[in-house]
Parts: sequence; C-alpha cells; structure tokens
Amino acid sequence: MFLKMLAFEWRYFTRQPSFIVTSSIFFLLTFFATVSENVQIGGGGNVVYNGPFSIAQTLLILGFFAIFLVVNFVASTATRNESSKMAEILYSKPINPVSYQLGRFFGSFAVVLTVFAFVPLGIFLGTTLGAAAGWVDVERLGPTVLSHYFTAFFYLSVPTLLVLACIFYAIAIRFRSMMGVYLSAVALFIGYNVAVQFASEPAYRELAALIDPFGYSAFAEVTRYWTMHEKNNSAIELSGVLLQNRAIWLVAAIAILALFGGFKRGLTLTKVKAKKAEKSAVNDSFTSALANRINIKNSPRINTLAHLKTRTLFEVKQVIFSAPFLILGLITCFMLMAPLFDPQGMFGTPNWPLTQTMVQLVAGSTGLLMLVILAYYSAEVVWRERNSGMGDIIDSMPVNNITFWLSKFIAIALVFVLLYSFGTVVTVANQALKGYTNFELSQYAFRLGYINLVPLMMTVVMAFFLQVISPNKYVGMLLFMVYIIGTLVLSNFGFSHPMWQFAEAPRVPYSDINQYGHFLTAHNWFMLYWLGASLVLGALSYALWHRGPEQPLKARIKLVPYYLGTYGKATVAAGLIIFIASGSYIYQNTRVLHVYQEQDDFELEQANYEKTYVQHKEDNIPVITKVNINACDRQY
Amino acid sequence: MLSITGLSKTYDNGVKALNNVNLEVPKGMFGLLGPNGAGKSSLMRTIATLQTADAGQITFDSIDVFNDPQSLRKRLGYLPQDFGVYPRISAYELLDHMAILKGIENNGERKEAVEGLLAHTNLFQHRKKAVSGFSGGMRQRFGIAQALLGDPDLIIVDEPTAGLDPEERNRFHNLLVSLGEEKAIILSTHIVEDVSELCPNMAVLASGQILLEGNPIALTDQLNGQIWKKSVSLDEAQEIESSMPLISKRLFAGKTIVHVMAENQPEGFDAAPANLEDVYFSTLLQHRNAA
Repeated sequence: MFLKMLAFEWRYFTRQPSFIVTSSIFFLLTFFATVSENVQIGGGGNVVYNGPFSIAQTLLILGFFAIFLVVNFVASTATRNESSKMAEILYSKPINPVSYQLGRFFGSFAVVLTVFAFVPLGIFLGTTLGAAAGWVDVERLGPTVLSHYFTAFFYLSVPTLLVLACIFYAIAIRFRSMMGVYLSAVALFIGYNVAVQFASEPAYRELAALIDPFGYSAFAEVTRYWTMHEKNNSAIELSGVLLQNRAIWLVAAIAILALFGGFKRGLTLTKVKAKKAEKSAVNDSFTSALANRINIKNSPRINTLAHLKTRTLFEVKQVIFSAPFLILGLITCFMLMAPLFDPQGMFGTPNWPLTQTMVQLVAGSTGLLMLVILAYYSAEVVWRERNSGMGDIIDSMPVNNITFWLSKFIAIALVFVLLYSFGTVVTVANQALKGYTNFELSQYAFRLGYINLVPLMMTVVMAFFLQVISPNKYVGMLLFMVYIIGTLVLSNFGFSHPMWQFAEAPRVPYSDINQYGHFLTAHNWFMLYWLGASLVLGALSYALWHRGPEQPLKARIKLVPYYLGTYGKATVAAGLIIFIASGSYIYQNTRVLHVYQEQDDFELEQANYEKTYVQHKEDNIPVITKVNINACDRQY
Repeated sequence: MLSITGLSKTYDNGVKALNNVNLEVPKGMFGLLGPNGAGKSSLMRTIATLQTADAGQITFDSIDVFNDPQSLRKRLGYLPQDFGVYPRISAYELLDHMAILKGIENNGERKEAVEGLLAHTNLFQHRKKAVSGFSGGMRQRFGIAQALLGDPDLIIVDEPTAGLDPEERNRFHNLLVSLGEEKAIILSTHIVEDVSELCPNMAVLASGQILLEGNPIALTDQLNGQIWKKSVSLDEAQEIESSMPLISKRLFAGKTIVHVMAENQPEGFDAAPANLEDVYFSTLLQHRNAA
C-alpha cells in the first residue's frame, strides 16, 4: 500500500503542468544566475560559481522559495481528496490509513525533492555549458567537483525540505483548505524574517544557528570567518552546529508529522457546516413573478459601455474580495514595516524619513512582489471564465471582446493602485510618527503612479497577450517567466538599450534640489514609445481573446480583423505610428546624436582606461599649495 | 432556419468528432439524439459559436456563424452540457449580470424577466443563495433560466434534463413548449422520451455522422409491423442476439423482453407497436453492422 500510494503520487504530480512549470523556473533561475551577470543569487566577490560555498548558498537561498513548492505539492496532496470530491468514494474503501497517508506524503515529498534537484542541476549545467560556450568568465570557475553538489543538497536542502513538508502537511490536514495553508506560509515567511532581524545580533547568533529551520544561520555561523580559499575549496561538513541544527529539525519534523499528521484520526470526512435556516420571508411574491413576461427581447445592438461597467465592477469584486488579495496586502504592508522599524541607513546612521526615500522604499521593497502578483493575477483573471466553468455560457453572450479585456485590465490596475496606496499609507504614517510632516503626497502620486505604475501596467498588457496566445494558463505563466528572465538576460547579449526591453526606460532619479531634472523627458519619450507597442499588443490581445474552450490560435487569428473592428484597426494603426515615430526620435537622440555604449563595452573601456594609465600611478600630481580669495570683488 | 452543410471537425488528438454533417433545422423543437460520445456536444458548441470546424458552413437566418459570430450571439440562448458558476454570487445577481451581458438594458424589464425566469425554473425562493452552493438539479435549472434570457430566436440546450427530477423535467418541458413556435430550439439528448414527447423533427447522430433525419411519428410508422417482441431468459436472449437483428433488450418485472426487427414474424415472437426507441436502436444497430 505504502509503495503503491507513493508511486501514485509520483505519477500524478509528474503529469501535472505545475511540475513542469516549477521545475523550469528553478532550473532557469539558477542556470541564468550562473551564466548571466544580471541574475544574482548569493555569491559575490571572487567566489567561484561552482565552489562549495556558492553552491551551498544558492541552495539555501532558494530553500526559502521552496516553501511554495511544498505548499503546491505536499499540502495539495493532503487536501486533494476533499478538493477533488473523491473523499467519499475513497474513504468507503478498506484502506490502511497509516500506510495510505505515509505513502502519499512521501510520494509528494519525492516530487518536491525532484523539482528542487533542478537547482544544483542548473548550477552544474550553467557552469559546464557556460564555460564551453564562453558565457562565464573562466576565472570564476573552479574544478567541477560533483560531491560539492551532493553534500550541499543532502546536508542542507533535503532536511529543510522535509521539515517544511512535515509542517505544511500537518497544517493542511488540520485546516483542510489550501487557503489556510497559504496564510500559514505567509505567516511563516513573515515570522522568519522578523526572527532573522533579531537574531543578527551577535549575542543570539548561536541560538539562531541551532533553531533556524532553513539551516541558513547555521551555515552562516560555520562559514562566517572562511577565507576566499576556504570558500572555494572546503567541502561542507556535517558537524558541529550544522549537525546539531539538522538533527534538531529532523527530530522535530518527524514529531510534527507523527503528532499532527492526522494518522491517529484516520480517514474521515470534513464535517459539513449546517446550512443556515432559510428565511421564510423570501417566499413572498413567488406566484406573481410567474406572471412576469419572460420573453423580453434584448437590444439588437451591443452596448459595450453598459457591459464594461457591469464587468469591471464584477471583476474588481472578484479580485478584491478574495483571500489572495488579503494575503498580498498583508505582505506588502509587512515588507514596508520591517525596514521602517529598523532603518539601516548608510554606516548605521538612519536618514530622515524624507518622502523621496519613502517612495524609493515603497517601490523598491515591493518590486519583486509586484512581478509575482502580475504573473499570478494575469493568469487568474484571463482564465477566470474557463476556471469557474462558466466559460461556455459567458463566451456565447453577445459581448465584445474588448469588454472582457478592458474590465480585467482595470481590475488588475486597481490591485496595483491599492497596493501602492497601502504602501503610501504605511510610510506616511511612519513619517507622521517620527514627527516629519512634509508629506509631499503629490510626489507619492507622481512617482508611484506614473513612473512606477505605468511600466507595470504595460507589463500587464504583455502578460495578457502571452496568456491569450497560450492554450492554457500554465503555458501562459511559463511564457511570462521566460519573458521576464529573457529581459534580465538579454542585456548581456548586446540588447541593453532600453528600446529593446519592453516597458523599460532610463531610470528617473529624484532629488529634492533638482527634482526629476532632464531624466523625466527621457522617461516620457520612452513611455510614449512603449505606449505605442502596448496599444498594438492590447488590441491584438482582445482580438485574439479566447471565445470557447477549443479554439486553437490558428482559428482565432482568422477572426482578428472581425473582432478588431474599425476602432481596433485604428488603434493598431495609431499604436504603430506612435511606436515608430517616437522610436525614431529616441533612436536619433540616443544613437545618432549621442553615442550609446553597451554595458560590456563600457566596462571594457573602464578596464582599458586603467590599463593605459596605470603606468602614471606613481607620477607626481599637481597640488594646490596656496589660494588667494579677494572677497570684496567676488573674484579669485 | 438553421442550416448546416458539410461540417467536419477533427481534434488535435485525432478524434473525428464531426464527419460531413448536413442538417436543416426548421422552426420549432428539434431533437438531436445520439449515444455518449457521438459528437452531439461538439456540434452544439460549434453552432453556439464556441468552436470552429475544419470544413463546412453554418448559417442561421442568413447569418454566417463562422464569420460573424457576434450577430448570432445576439439571438442565441445556450445551455452547455456541463458548466460551473462564479463563486460567491447569488442566483438573482448572477442572472441579472447575464441579462445585462445579453443586452436587456431597461432596468425594469430586466428585473421582470430575471424574476420571471427564476419563478419559472422554480428557483425564485432560492434567488438570494449563491449558485455555487446549489445542488446539481438546481444548478441545471439556473442554466435553463439563463439560456432563455432575452427571448432568443435560436435556443441550444445540451442534455437539459440531466439531473432533474421527474417533476422538474415536466416543468421544463412545459416551459419549452410555451416559448412559442417561432424559434428554433435544438434539444440534444440521449433520452429518447425527451424527443418523442417534444419534437416534431429529429435527427440521430453517431460517430460524428447524421444517421437519420425526419419526423418522429413518420419514422416510427415506417417501422410498424417490423418489430417483434418476446419474453425470454437471459441465456435465450444471448442466443437471439447472435442469430437475429436484436434492437433492444430490457427488463420488465425481472424478465428480459427482447425486441427484434424482421420483415416477417419470427417464431415465438409477438407483434409489438413500434416506438421511437425502436427507431433509435435499429438505426444504431444498422450503423454498427455497417461499420
């Protein structure tokens, strides 16, 4: 029974799209972290990419992200019988509950291990292929030692993953709902981060090294005083504090699983909540309603404005009144709280809570989160009709495609606006608490609302487009991940000019003395340029919108002119004109009138400069010995 | 009113769902009978603008369905075979939402139609409950209500009586008949009784092909005098199955009653009045024998 259940879980998950998606994400992330300089996971300095320290650190850092792997696989195993409504059929069979549940647990755990094994594989292939293809600087590579990968994986990752798996299995069994699991995952993530803040004090380091379930603090303690040579050559040993940490958590994991894994209770159905007694008052005008006219004709024209109003309200409600939004709001606020309570200014001297730094904080600390939200929500929202099962009915309604596209776009825009607003409220409250009253709300609005939000919304347009051309939401998410990683990596291959990177623009620094300076002009031009592209993509997305479950892309392309209509065609034309015109202007200014240097060329020039003039390093240089100032004439 | 010509569809996995389907659907109720997996739902979805075909054409009242789906959607009411609903929305709100999408713009009229349809599908007293919490039969009735919004000229209902108790099934049949004769109503089903009770026109679809088309009474009359029945034991039934064109085998009070088709009365068999079920089964039998 145990082995059969294990094999069943394995077969089940390895056929799920989520297996492919998560494996590719973990693989691509580490692979590109190795071959590209723009994706960084740990490491740094002159530590070789394939040395024991780098490998261990990458595995430890990605171990935090493994929370989501465990939730996705192990916790969903624990709740699947209920969620798939198989429980009643299964639990009426003569099953040995302990071996049944253990088999399922270890089956899903094996899947988690497999997916996570793509991390060391990514490093391994990244360094070996990267060296062969010349993507990686050979000076940053040591000899390939397979045992470094295995020790890091088995000493550091496997115990951590087991701990997480046991905890979340127990939580899932307890709550029997994925939402409870997600909330617990967020709580763990936040709690761990708070604990890490406290534990960074030297006095607590040893304690932290023992009780860190991820083993990160223990590893940091062991390697704290390692030299570069040690980092690149010493194998990780399972001894001392690291051994104690792993042993403690192994015991804890088994205890958690044994006590809270639901083995004692056996297989039982969740109690059905008693339905509330129906109000008798609802029965009122029943018979009179029977006399109503039910053959009222609909209007012969499609009222897109009325549809848009209804659909937008509906989409917004669906997004805002859902648990994921609540969780995201909490995370956003939390991410801002931590740096506010413990502001780490330059050299330990915290800055004043100036609005310009607060805005940076909001934008910076939510940056990655916003991308995650974008990937998640664009998939959820675009596929809402299909996922809820209402797709066939809604798609056969006389509604223009733009209504679906625009209402969903507005709903996501609102999510971002609200999250930024939460951020603003938190930081403004912080300013007020610290007695700083020059809030400059307009600066919040302009920098967050225009400089940050507009490119983000354009990325939503891109994400929608990728979802629409995909046959299902998992392919769409994968395409979006590939797109994001692609934008990070492309600049290494000679595409670092922002004109190549969708929704990119040169950075707009802000200073209280100079404000936005001339940077805003560049930003405006680039926004106009990408607006053109977004109009085209947006129009194509709604023209290609999924209407029906079995419509391959080829069939939908045929109807593009039909669904575009006159306005759509005009939009595409206008978008193209804007794109080309502003693109030419930008090209003229950045490439023709001025010289644009690729990142690599710039670094090369810097290196050559040093090499050329290093001979003058010891030369005498002129020194000011005396200054005369004639203050009356205001002249030197 | 609805005419389908040369419709063929092969899915990516190689399944030939529709194979050169030609069909004329006049005004009134039209029954589409077929076994599970015959391609009924593929045909229904294709008419309902939700999927295109590899070849062929569908026109409704001079609307080219493949090239102008929006025009058909304005006049269409569609109940899919299987559907879910958005979570956390009450029956009234959801039906109102769909009435807006359907294009009933006047608030008063919309309220009248929505409440009326809820009453006719016996959901009025449950209108404030979330549809996602409905039982199977109630949800099916909700599906019927939404298909009738906006007084559509073409109504496609795919297995509408699945999950309905006999009382609700009768209620639904009466509602359909009361809608008037000016519309084309396509009723796709595997239940022969639904068709024999409601439809002046019908077709039998199997393996993606139309095997038979006509008026149920005329089709039944053609078989009169060719259907013979006998009450037999289980072993005898098997023997008959191998030697004669056995078209149906059903139980009555624990005994097996077999129906066979033959020009002349076989020995030991009694004459039986032909019914639509005999038409349906004999068509399928001939199709299987030909294959």
